Amino acid sequence: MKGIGGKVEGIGPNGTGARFEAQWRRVYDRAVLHTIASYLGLALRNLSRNPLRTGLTVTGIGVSVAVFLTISAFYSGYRASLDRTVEQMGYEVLVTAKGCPYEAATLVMKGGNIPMYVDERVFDQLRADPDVGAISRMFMQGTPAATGSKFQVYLGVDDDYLKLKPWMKLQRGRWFQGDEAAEAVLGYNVAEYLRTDLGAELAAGQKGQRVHVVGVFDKSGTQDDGLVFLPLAFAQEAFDRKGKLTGIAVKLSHIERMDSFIERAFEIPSVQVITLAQVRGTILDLVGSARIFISAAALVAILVASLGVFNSTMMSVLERSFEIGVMKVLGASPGNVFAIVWIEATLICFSGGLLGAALTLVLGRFTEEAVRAVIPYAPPGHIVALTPPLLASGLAGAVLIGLLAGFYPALKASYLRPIRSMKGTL
Amino acid sequence: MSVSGRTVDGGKIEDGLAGKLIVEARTVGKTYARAAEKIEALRGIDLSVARGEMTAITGESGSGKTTLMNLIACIDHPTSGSLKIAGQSVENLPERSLTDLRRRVVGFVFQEFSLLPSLTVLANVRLPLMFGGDPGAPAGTARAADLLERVGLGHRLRFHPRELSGGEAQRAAIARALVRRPSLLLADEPTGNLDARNAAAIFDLFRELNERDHLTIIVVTHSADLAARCPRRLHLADGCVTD
Repeated sequence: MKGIGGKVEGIGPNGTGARFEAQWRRVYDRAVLHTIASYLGLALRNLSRNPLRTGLTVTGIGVSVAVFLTISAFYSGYRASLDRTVEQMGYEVLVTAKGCPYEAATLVMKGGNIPMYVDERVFDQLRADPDVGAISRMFMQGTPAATGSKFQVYLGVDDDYLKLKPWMKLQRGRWFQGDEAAEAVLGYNVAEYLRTDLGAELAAGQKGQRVHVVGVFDKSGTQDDGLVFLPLAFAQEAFDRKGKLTGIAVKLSHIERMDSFIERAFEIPSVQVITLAQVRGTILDLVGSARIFISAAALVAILVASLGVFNSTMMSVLERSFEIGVMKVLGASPGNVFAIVWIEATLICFSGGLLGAALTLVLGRFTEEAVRAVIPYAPPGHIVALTPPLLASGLAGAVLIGLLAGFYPALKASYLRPIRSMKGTL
Repeated sequence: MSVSGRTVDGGKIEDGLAGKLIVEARTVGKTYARAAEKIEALRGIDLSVARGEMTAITGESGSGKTTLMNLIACIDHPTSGSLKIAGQSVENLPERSLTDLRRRVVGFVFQEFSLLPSLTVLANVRLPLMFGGDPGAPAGTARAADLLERVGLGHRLRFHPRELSGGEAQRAAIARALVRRPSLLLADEPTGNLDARNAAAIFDLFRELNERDHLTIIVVTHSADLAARCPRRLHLADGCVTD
C-alpha cells in the first residue's frame, strides 16, 4: 500500500510503512465517517424543511410499528403465560361432569362458578387406576365479593391438592386442621386485596358461614393467588353440594400412558376427560385466529404507512428537482443523489420505528389492561411481553419499509438529468 | 490558492494540458425538439478556450449563451459537432463519466445563486466535497472557510442563504464553485440578479481569480460594460459566434 506523500512499501510490520499505513487508515476512516455524517446531516435538514409532512409520515409509521409490536408482544406473551399457567396447574388431566370440557377447564384455570358436578365416587374409581401418580378432588364455586365488584372464587380441596403443587408454600399461618373445619387459607392476592390477616373472620358460601383465616400462601404468580381455599367437606356443605365435585385433577405417573388412561376414564359414566395440552392448544388456536384478523388489519396499516413514506419521499423529490439538478452540476453522481433520498426515507421510517417502540413501551400497561378486559381468558402474568429482540425486530422492520418505500423515489431522483430538472421539465 | 498548471488526475479523464486548450468546440450544434418544431439553439459553434483565459460571452436572450454553457459544463450533450473539455470528447460520454468530468474540471456559478436553503453558508460551500473526494471534516471545512474568507464572507460562515444579500449569496456560490479546485470556472449570468455595485465586485473577484490564480473563466453576461472588463469577448447571435 502506498503511504502518504508518495512514500511506498513499508519495511515491516513495525516499520515506517506500517506507521504510514496506520496513519493513512485513520485519515481515511475519518473521511468516511465524515461523509456518512454529512449524508445524515443533509437528510435531516431536508426532512426538517417540511416538519408537518415529515411528522405525519413518521407518526403513520410509528402507529403501524406500535400495532405490529403490540400484536406480536401479545401473542408471544400470551403463549408464554399460558404455558406457565398450564405447567403450574400441577396436573395433566382434568375429569369433569359432562358438558363443554373446554369451558370447565377454562373455568378451573381462570377460577369461576362451575355449575357441573361429578359424584365423589368417581374419584375413588380414578384413584384405583394404575397410571395415576397423584390425584386431587376439587370443588370450585364463586360468589360476588362482599366489597367491590369482584367475584370471589372458593376452592374446596384437601391435602392431595398440595401434593400436586409442591411449590405452593405458606407465607404465614398453617394448613387446615380437618376436612370440615371452618377455616380458610388465602391466596396471596386475596390477602393483599382484602387486607386480611391470620385470625380474621370471613363469610363464605351461600349461607355466609363464618370461617377463620388460618394461613396465607406465598405469591405463586398463578391463578391460585386469587383463590380462597376451604376444606373440601366444609366447602361442599357451605354450597349445599355434599358429595359433589366440580373436577378431579390427575397427574399421571407416566405421561406416555396418557392415551390408555383417557380410554379407561371415558368408560366411567357421566364424566368427560380433557388434557390440559388440549385446553392449551384450543385456547391458542382461538387466540391465533383472532391474531390473524388483527395482523391483517396491522398489515393494511403498515401498507398504508409505507405508501405514505413513498408518497412523501416522491413529493419531496419532485419539489426539489431543481436542487437535485444543482447538486448534479456540482458533481453529485446518480449514486450520491440516490443515497441522499434513500437515507431520507430510511430516516423517516427509523424515526417512526423509534416512535412506535416508545409508544408500545409507554402504552404497554394500558394495552395489557385493555386486552384483559376484552378476551375471555387471560392467564396470569404479563400477556403483552415486550422483549428487546421484539423491539429490535420492530425497528428493523421499519427500516426495511424505508428501504423499500424509498427505493423508487431515490432511483427516480438519481436518474434526473440535471438540465431537465433545472428547467423543471421532468 | 493556485490553479495554474494543475492536472486532473486519478481518473480516466485526461486533462489535455499538452494542448493547453481546456475547451475545444468544433462545429457544435444543439437542436431542441419542441412538439413538431425543431429549435436550433446553437449552429456550428467553433470555440477554443486556452488555460488561464478569461472569456466573456454576450448576446441577446435566446442567442444560445446558456445552451453553450450547459454543453461546456457537461450537463447537456451537443447534437452535432465535437466538443472536448480538458481534452476529453464529451459527445458520447455516459452520465457517469460526465459526472466525473464535472467533478474534476468544472466549477459552475448560477444566476440564481442556487444555494441550498437548509444549509449554512459554510455547509453550502462544503457540499461539492460530499460528492466524492471529501478530505474529511477538518481539511474540507478549512478549505471552505478559507474560500469564504477570500470572497469576503469570513464573517458569514454560520449564516443561512436567506440571511445574505444578493451579492453575498453570489460570492458564496463562487466559493462553492471553487471548493473542488476546478480548472474551469463557468458563470452563467452571475450578475443578472445583482445591482451595479455588486456586479462590479463579482467581476473584480473573477479578474482576481484569473490574474492571480490563472483560473480559466468563461462568464456569460448581458452587460457590455462588464464584458469589456474581460480580456476576451465573444458575442452570440442566433446560435452562432459573431465576433
